[in-house]
Amino acid sequence: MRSQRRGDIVAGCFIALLGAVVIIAASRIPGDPEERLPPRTLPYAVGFMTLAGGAGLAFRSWRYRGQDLAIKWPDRDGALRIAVNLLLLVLYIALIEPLGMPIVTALYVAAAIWYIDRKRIVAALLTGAGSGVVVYYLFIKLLELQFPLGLLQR
Amino acid sequence: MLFSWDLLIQGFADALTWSNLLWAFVGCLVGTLIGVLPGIGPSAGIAILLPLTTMIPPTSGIIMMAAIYYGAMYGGSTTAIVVNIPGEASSVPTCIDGYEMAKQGRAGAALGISAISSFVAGTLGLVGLTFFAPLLANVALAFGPPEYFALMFMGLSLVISLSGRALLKGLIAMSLGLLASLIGQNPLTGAVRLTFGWLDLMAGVSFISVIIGLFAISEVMINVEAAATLIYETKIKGWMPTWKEIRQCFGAMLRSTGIGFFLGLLPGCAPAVTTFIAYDVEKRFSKTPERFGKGAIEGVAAPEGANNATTSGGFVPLFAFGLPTGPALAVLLGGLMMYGLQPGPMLFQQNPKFVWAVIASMYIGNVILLVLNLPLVGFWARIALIPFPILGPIIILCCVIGAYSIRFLMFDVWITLVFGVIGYLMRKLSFPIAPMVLATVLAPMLETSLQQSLLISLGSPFIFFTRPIAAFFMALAFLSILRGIWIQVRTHAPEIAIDESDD
Amino acid sequence: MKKSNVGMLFALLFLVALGVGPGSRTAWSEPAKSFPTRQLTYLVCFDPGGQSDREARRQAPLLEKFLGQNVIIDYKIGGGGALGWRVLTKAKPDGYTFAGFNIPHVILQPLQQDVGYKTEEIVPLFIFHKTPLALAVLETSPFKTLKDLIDHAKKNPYLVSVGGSGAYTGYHMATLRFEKLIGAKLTYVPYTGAAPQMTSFLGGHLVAVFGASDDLTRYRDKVRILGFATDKRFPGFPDVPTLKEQGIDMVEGVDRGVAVPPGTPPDVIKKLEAAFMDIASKPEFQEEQRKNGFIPLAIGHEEGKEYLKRMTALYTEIFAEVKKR
Repeated sequence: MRSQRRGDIVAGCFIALLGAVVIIAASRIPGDPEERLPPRTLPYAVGFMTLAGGAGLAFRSWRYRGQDLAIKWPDRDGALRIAVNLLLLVLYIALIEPLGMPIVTALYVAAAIWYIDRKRIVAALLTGAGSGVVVYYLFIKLLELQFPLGLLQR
Repeated sequence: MLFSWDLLIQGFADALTWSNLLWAFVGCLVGTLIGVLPGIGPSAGIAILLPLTTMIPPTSGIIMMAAIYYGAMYGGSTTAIVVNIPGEASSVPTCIDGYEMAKQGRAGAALGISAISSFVAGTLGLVGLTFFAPLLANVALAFGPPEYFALMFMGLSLVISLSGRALLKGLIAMSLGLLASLIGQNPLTGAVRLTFGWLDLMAGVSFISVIIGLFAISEVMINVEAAATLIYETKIKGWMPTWKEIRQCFGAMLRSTGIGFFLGLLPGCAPAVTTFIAYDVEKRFSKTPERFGKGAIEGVAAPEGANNATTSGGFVPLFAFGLPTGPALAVLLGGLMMYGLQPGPMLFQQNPKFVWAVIASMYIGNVILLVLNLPLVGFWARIALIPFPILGPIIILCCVIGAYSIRFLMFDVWITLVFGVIGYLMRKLSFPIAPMVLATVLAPMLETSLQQSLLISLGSPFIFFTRPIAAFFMALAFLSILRGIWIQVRTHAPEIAIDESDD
Repeated sequence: MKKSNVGMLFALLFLVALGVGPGSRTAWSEPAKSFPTRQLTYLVCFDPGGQSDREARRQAPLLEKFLGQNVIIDYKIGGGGALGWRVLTKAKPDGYTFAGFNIPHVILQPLQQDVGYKTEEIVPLFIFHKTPLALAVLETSPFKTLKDLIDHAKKNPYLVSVGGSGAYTGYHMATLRFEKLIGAKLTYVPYTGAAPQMTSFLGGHLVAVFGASDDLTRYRDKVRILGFATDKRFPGFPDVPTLKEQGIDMVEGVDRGVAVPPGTPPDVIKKLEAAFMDIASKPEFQEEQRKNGFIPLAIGHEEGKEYLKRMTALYTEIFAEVKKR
């Protein structure tokens, strides 16, 4: 996976597999073959394109013998940062409905800023609080967008 | 729908009364804001203000609503350039070079050229609307399902030029984009497919989720990984485009006006398609196509011009037949009907004063927008100075708001996150992203028009070659595909599947 | 002149509101007394700016006046309305959430496939208008009468293309019933909505359409209506005969109304029903509906329930026949 060639082989195989899954799924689409464009036709076509594209990529990369490039995968620290940020984002989205958009936004923004830059605690808290207020007044109150209010419901 | 100077001048006189001027200004301001803010597009913006129609006179009301619509096109490019969030499909090509420019410290120039190009193309489009509307009105009707299919097919052939040297990866990205949009219901029959029995997936994957995920979320992830302190180079090179750059973009503005305006006459496909085509044409016209994707200023001028010309073009079928070309114009049509104004040829005969006042106000509105937007360029570009640790979470917040307000479903937010991760992997493995977005945007219309065409032709595919307009687009598409294959074969590039950018 | 001054004032207020921001509008503070005590949500299951949205936006301020609470419009869009109706049937049945709904959509969708809700779970609160369908050709078409078209269709199977909005919709059912009644094969071409359907029709890409009365009213100088699928002649086109008059016994149209989730308390339904009844009985409302090509209705909860039941039985029968084909 470290090199571009290996990466492409793995990606190609994975995409080919995805294409195969789509073809199987397409074969289960109920439908009337009498129709002018049967409901299975396009999913089949795209499934085969995906399968062929993935297989082609894997094959070409496998045959490729030229100079190989390295993929800049994240180092340990980078990977950790991405993992923690993704976790924060998942928590953010998961808590929007129970806690309400303004509150969870404030918490997320503050936490995410603080995690990336530990020195900016004050900025993190202020930006977080500010985001929550903007979401509440600008988007929910003024623009009347229907975000979940959660705890602020009553 | 007859033109006369008297009526146009009378229109200007009406549009320049200070109450109408004020409403045009309000519309421009609200439009710009709506364009900048995630989560609210022009159609929702106009819809929210529809109840105002009961309080203000018809001419002012429609002037304001129209201004919101074209004003939003000015504002829409801002987030695309500054933080790589295309609010709508029409801003995707703007992201490609606009964000590159911003990263090079030239956000001001990109924003400036986008305002200027918007102004030029918007105004030229209005000239087309003013003088040629009667001639052009029938173009909208000449396009039936086969013509749409051929146009969409030609649109997909752009994948070749959007994938750079990684054609195979471009084709894979395109397949993935098509796949994403096939999930859910068939747009015509409502038949559910590829949902694996999951009811939430029935609603399908919105292309806006795909766009926000692939562009903005993955960009933030890349920056988080690198522990970036700023997403741009710190040095800011000029707040405004130089005269030389403006002159350099002049051809792009004219060409994109033509493309945007003519395709803008067609219901349904604009402006997502027009901006991609304008971008592609510019790349082909350019003597230095390799600069595209790396911060070419024409790459910003072309899509921005095209989407404003498209807006002007859309008013032709709206006024001439009462045909809205997109959701925002459909809401505007609703506004007209609330006032009891029935668009169509009769509107011009019965209410010429109203129609020409609205058209004249659009010229004025474009000037207002230019004056309003150019000073804001410095303000927006200063966002570049916000440190990434603070900006990153705010960008994510904008993504979440944008994703949620597609259909007000949490499901769309999750899907956006999934595409964020996919986008990150695609960047790491150097897959081109634009073909995937293009495919997602075009797929529903492609499928719909294919299905309708085959019904009309009783199953014969020759319908795409026997109708002249359709045949023309099909020929262009095949030529473009053959040319792409020829270049691939001739260059023998072994790294075809390896890399698209050199840095 | 006076009107524009009011407008100016409003514009200024609007600018001020943009600058200063709101904060004065609090909807939930009074102690619970009688329904409604807090803001209500009007679900719209179609795109902003569509007919359902426009009706909702027209009604919302009047509902606010009658009920004394904020009414906000919330969109849940997808699956031709199915997604929003699924949300409605899962919502808390307290009357604070209600949704616009269409007949026959809520009947046909669950018949076609599992869409996450059942027709019985849609509780009609009020039905406010009907838009009948009519068979139309272009004004320039060689078919002057219904008979011309039928004769042509009989001689040329599948060559008469009839456009409509969506598959398994009223438009689709109308075409299939028509086909059966005249004993000829047609080609039904679905579109993603009424707007693209009419565009394609006006461009001459279709032989005929089953069009909604409001769309046909809008393009009345460009189309020739061969017959309305109604019981009585449509008031907007008194000269056009019904299909029934011409020996084709079919009635087809779309009804728009408002529904609540199953289990909503009867007194709450009464209150909401009264609010909608108040709007529907206003002469301005009826006038506007007629002008836009609709037939204004005022069908309340009980009657609406009966009506939906009747229509469900009818469409289930038609659908079974269609499936058999």
